[in-house]
Amino acid sequence: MTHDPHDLAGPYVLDALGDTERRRFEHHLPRCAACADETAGLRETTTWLALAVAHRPPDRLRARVMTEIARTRQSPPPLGRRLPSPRTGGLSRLAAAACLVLALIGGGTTWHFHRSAEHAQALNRRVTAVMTAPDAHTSTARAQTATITVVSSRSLGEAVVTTARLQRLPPAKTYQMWWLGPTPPRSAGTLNPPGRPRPLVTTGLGNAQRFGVTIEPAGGSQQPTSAPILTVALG
Amino acid sequence: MTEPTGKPSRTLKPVGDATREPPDLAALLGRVARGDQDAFGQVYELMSRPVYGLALRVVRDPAQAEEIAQDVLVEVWRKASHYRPERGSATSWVLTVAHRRAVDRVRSTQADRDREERTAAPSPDYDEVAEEVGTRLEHQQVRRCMRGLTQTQRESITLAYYGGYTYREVSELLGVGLAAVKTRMRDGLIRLRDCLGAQP
Repeated sequence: MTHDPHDLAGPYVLDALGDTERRRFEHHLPRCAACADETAGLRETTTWLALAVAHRPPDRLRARVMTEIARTRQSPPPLGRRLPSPRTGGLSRLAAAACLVLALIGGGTTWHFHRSAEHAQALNRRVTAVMTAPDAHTSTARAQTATITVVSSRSLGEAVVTTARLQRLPPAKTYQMWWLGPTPPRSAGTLNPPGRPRPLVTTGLGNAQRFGVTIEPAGGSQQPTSAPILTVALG
Repeated sequence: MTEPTGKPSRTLKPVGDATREPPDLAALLGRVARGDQDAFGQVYELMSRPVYGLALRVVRDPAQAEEIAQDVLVEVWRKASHYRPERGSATSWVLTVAHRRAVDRVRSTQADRDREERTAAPSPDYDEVAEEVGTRLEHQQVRRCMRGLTQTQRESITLAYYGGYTYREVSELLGVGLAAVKTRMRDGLIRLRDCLGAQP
């Protein structure tokens, strides 16, 4: 039997899934911001159910536990958490984002990074440069089901953009990205319909204050013709 | 370590407030992660009752509940550095570990003996579990809010959370389709959350 994994948040937080289904759902969670949010919220509710049945354990338990921990080696923090900074957060979000799209560069020119190894490496270098820049700043915005994360570096003038769960548009429409404020909106390129996960690098950050995404006629517009579906503040 | 970044925004939500996050559990976990045994002693004071009580409710055997509580608390010591404030409250993190451990125990010990039996036909357990939660929940608010659920929502949540049944088993026990059980669990939890969040 097949399932829509989105239905499983309730059983999941109640630990009422079998092993296989639980693994499948946990595999799905990082790829679905809406599911992760809902799951986290429902999980907090189950905490009430636990608190409601609190019961004092036998006194001997404390001594046993304290003895046991004194001789138990602690597990190190998971990798990537030892250097808390915007860019580590950005990297993990990047890894989690589901539908990264294509790479492009502003200033009117769009470069598509194809799937060849050479281009993939070039893209990786660019992504890595932004993510590891000393002034990398991560911002995330959610609207309905879509999520966008922008890691920007003023010193490089570039940003890495990841999107998750953007809906596919009709052929006559395209997503377009913009640098917003304090000057009039400047195009940061168009976004193809969501495909395989791809990071996207945009240039032309300049002194923009926000980053936005609009829906435009295919091919893109000179200036936005509709209100942004998502905006994020830039660092 | 400073206060976890996720905390201030969480206190704005009724749910975070409703779960009565001990004010410093997350901060204590930060100290525990660095090997602070005194901090762990305070974690024990805060969490041993809910952890033991939950294990006891699920496995229904004091000796096993004590074992589970010990395992869970030692795991909290061991994995304190894995707690991620942005993913939820510290209380929820600890109790999730506890619940999963208790449910695993129930499923593994009962698997050989009566699991097939109880999935094949509703056993007396089911009424007992559902009944007890109605009468023995210590927490007044939860008891009141549980009463506000529909009967099938309440039974689905009770059987799964306190009884350790999978939703497939719950579906069999209640004679309700799988899709309906999933929905009732989710809707019931949402209604419960809204009710608890509305508390003063």
